[in-house]
Amino acid sequence: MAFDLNKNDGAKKEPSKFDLSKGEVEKPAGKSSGWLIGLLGIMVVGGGIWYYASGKTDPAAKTSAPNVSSDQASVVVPASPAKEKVSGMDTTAVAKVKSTEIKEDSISKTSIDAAPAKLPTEALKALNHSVPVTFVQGSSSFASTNKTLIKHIVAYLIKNPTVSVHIDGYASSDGPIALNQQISQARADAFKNHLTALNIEASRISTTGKGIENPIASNHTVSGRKRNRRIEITLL
Amino acid sequence: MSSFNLNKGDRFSLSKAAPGLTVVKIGMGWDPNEEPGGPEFDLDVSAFSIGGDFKIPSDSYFTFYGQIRMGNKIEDKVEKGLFRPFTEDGAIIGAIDDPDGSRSDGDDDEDMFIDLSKVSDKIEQIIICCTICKYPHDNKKDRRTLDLNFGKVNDCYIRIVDESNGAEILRYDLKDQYTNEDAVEFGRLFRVGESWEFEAMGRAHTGSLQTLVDMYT
Repeated sequence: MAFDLNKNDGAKKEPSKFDLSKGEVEKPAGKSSGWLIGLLGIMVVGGGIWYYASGKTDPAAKTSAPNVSSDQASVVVPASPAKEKVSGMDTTAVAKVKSTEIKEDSISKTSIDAAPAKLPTEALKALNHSVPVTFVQGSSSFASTNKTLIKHIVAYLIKNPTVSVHIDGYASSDGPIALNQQISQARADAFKNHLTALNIEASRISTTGKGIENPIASNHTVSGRKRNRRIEITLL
Repeated sequence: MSSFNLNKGDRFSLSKAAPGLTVVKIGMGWDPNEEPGGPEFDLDVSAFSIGGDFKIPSDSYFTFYGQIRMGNKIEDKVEKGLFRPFTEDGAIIGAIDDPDGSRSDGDDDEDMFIDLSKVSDKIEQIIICCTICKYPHDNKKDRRTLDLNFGKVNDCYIRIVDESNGAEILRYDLKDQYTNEDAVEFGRLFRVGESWEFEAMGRAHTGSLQTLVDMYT
């Protein structure tokens, strides 16, 4: 039996008897977006032809023509991306964030979309004091990143331009206290830089280095110290 | 019972350390040095259950994420809706695939479970591996993943836990410095008479998971 070693839908080219692809999740999204784009194209072309033809032959159609174009706009969807573009975020990035949210957590997407002006309590609980990244020992380089969480944070900040974010940096108990204080500040600053690279204004982000305070795991184990090398965010 | 730290090449008798041991959890962890905006690090745990000929006796004895697609899967007891691969003898329940690392907020990044009492007589050893998923097998078909290797991964470890009481029996921290390897055989469980032993292997390869597939199938 052949094994599929791919994680995407390119398995057909793989000569191995195992298929190592992981693409089951990605496949439907690719197909549906292709299908949507095709449908959209047909509708735009068809609508344009119909509008042009009916506008010439039947004056009464002039009143219905605008309805057609407004229908198209509602099918096309990007009414909201257009808004987001104004706020400075790359449209493609916004679309990516949205599609991931739909796949991964439709509940949080609904809550973010439904109440953009105010953070719902549940979403607040999920984002506040969350740990989007951990760090390499003695460094402000990211060791692991929770990309889904970061996408949620960025999407929320873009939708809510009046909200600011505070970042607390932490260190494990390894090394001298003074050094840990510096490293914790550097970690908070590193995540601030990461957010600004994702188009969040620096003026909306504050940072504090908390040193070895508030450990979330035991500093007596390697895995505990790994978890303590982190930042936490609070939305204000 | 205190845990033993092994070095590369060390062997350890599980049956002597924990008499009556049946189900073990194999926990593995790592810290990829992921750069913001860089390619996604996707590390996978897999196991090859091999016989005396050093080959898997049938397809399901290659425990990896792709077995879910092949129907050899079982729903996780805790995380409903997520599936783990399993072998046809029912002895090994593999890891839940975590392509973006979002589940990696606990002690172990990935884990698998082995019921030593159920391992088929055809199987003489179980090789536990960790590999970096790269183009063209990765989810995003990102060619930049071709440059990833274990030299960019810190704090790799494997540990064996007695699932009946949660006690860690042994641990092996990978200390070798790798430069371009993308597949590591962490360790192997092998039969010694009626008992099981573990060897800390730390054997690295290039060619990612495909290399190991070619070796053991």
